[in-house]
Amino acid sequence: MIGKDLLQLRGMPRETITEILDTAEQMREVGRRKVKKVPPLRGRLVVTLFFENSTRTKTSFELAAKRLSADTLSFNVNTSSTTKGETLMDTARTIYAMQPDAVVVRHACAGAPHLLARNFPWRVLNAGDGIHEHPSQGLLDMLTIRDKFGSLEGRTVAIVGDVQHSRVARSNIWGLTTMGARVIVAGPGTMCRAELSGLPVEMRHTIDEVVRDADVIMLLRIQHERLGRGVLPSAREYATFYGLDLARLRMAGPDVMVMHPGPINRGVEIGADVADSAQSVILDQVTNGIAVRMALLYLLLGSDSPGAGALHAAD
Amino acid sequence: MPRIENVRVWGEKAPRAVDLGFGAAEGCTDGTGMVLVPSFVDLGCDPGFPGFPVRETPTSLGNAALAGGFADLVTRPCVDPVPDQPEHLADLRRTLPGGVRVWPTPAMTRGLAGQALSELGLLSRFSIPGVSDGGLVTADTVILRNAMEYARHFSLRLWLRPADPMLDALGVVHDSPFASVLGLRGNPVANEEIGLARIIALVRATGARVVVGPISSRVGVDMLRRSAAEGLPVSGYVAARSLLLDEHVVEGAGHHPYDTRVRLHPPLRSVEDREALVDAVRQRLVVVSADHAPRAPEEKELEFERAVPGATGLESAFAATLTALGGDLSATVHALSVGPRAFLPEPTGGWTLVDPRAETLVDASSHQSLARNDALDGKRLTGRVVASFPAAGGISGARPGAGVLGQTDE
Repeated sequence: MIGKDLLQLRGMPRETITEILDTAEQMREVGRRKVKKVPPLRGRLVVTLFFENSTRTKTSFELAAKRLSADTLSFNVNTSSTTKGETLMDTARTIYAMQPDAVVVRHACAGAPHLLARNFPWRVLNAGDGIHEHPSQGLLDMLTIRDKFGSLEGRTVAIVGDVQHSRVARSNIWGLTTMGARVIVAGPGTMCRAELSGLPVEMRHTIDEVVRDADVIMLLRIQHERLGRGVLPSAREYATFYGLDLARLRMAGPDVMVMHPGPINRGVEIGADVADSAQSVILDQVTNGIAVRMALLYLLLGSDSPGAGALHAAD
Repeated sequence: MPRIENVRVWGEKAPRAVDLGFGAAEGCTDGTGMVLVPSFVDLGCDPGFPGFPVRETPTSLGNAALAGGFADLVTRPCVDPVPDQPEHLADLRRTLPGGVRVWPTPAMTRGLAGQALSELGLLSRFSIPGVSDGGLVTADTVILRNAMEYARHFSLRLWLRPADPMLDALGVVHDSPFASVLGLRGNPVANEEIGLARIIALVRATGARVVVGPISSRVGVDMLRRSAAEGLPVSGYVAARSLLLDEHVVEGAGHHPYDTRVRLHPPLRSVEDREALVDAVRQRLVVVSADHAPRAPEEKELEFERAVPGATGLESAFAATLTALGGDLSATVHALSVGPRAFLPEPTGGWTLVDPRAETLVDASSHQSLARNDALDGKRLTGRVVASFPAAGGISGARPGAGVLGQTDE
């Protein structure tokens, strides 16, 4: 059972993850039809509340909601830390008055979705909170890995890059290890600090060490705001020591899978030829993202909907 | 004339009847099992006034102090207007409703800006515990050294928060593997270590007397131990709550995830740090402060990183300290009363009636403070404050008209 909200993958039981991934496989089927819409969430309102810019995650959630026949409403709140606007709770009170059934929230602060989940009876889906978690991304990555390998059990996933500041990495680490995979990480000292020992990962210093052992190489996006601020000297420095180019890709086995949550920086964390290689599943991740988000909305909202279970009946 | 029968007076062996001279104990006439101890002194109090009526008023602060057994409050200058001139002191040095006395530490630098010294000499003519920039850290080490050299000639203590000016802004919880799990940026122990090293080095060079706090780490108390062994005039205090809570309360243990009531600065640190703080209190190396920092709901009902740091403490500090010290009343009274009294510019003579065996359930919603942000809210603690007699003076023939619990008006 999935519970009231989707806040984080840490602590989520193995059975729940399996249920979500299995449901996502069914949802993916809907996307392959000519009429890509089913009725289970008809009349339900899903609000996307994004305090940070996002195109793909927001679009993916909105498309997922629409394919389940839910109504969607999009709130973009532009809040730089210097803007003094209304508080998160006041924004939430306003939106709550519009009677949504679920709210998909992205926010720069860890724990912001938890605040919304605790104070309102709506369902909250965390679409990324600070550097804490991005659970739907973790789930879609796991679905993509499971598609290829059949199971996550015993697989070795290497995560390369700014693990310290990555919510994608955290969700993957918790989800993957719960499902029996092993996670190894590598990155510059400022991006893979010793404090990562709180997470169930093995730490390596160089990308070569992780590439050799990995079934899956997951590259993290280098955020431009980190460059030149003492975290990372330059993009080329990063590319030299941690970028995945063809030479490094060859060190891995032929069946290795290359993943990236996007958007990619070609020539920085990923070589252009690697991004377009047969091993890259970056576009599969996008497709799976919609399926996973449909599954999440369905599991969180669908069970008490009038159209529950009606996955087969096209609208 | 009301009396309490059968109460033990601190420093005496056998229980006896005590005549307090006024109707303070409000129905408490049997003091069996209770102890009348010297009233407590808080060394680190954000008063909230003037300037922050949503946090605290003189009446609410006075009542909170009385409820917690505190008769004297050393207050930080983080109020509006910033008290950096002698003219401001007249308004700040006051006796609150109920008889609690406020001992302001005016701003060490003008406007708390850390760039120019306040008129320390003129300020020193008032009966003050010293000067302070409150929670702010002087970035300019030259200014800090000058403050020490200048203050020494006026026998002024400096009250400083030990932190590195740059590292201090980093992070909202203890920097640790656990912070990494929560996805919250960590504030490292090195922040306190560097801050203390800077202060200790300047004290060694200037001979200034300083009080540092709240100390949050094992490294911090170790440094104080060494500076004490060296004979340097550096005194320290810790926050009562930090004797009971560690970094893990940011999740679980009676708190909900990302609970802003435990958004504190310095942050709650590791279990090992907490244990070192308790040891330091036991050894009387440091004293304990309520570190009372009232915050309005709108300052706390926010994202964890954006919530205003601080927690109230006056009404739970005694029970928290007694509980952390395993019921050792003698060490508790030293930590909250005997020790801190040495930092007041004038003698104080209040008394507090405590029941060291009674249980306290911390319930911030019923606190006298205007604020509800006690980090210990919901905790069951050992020890209870029964009544406060801030201006009682000597036990016999005490002056009438002194404060009682439950005052409602100025």
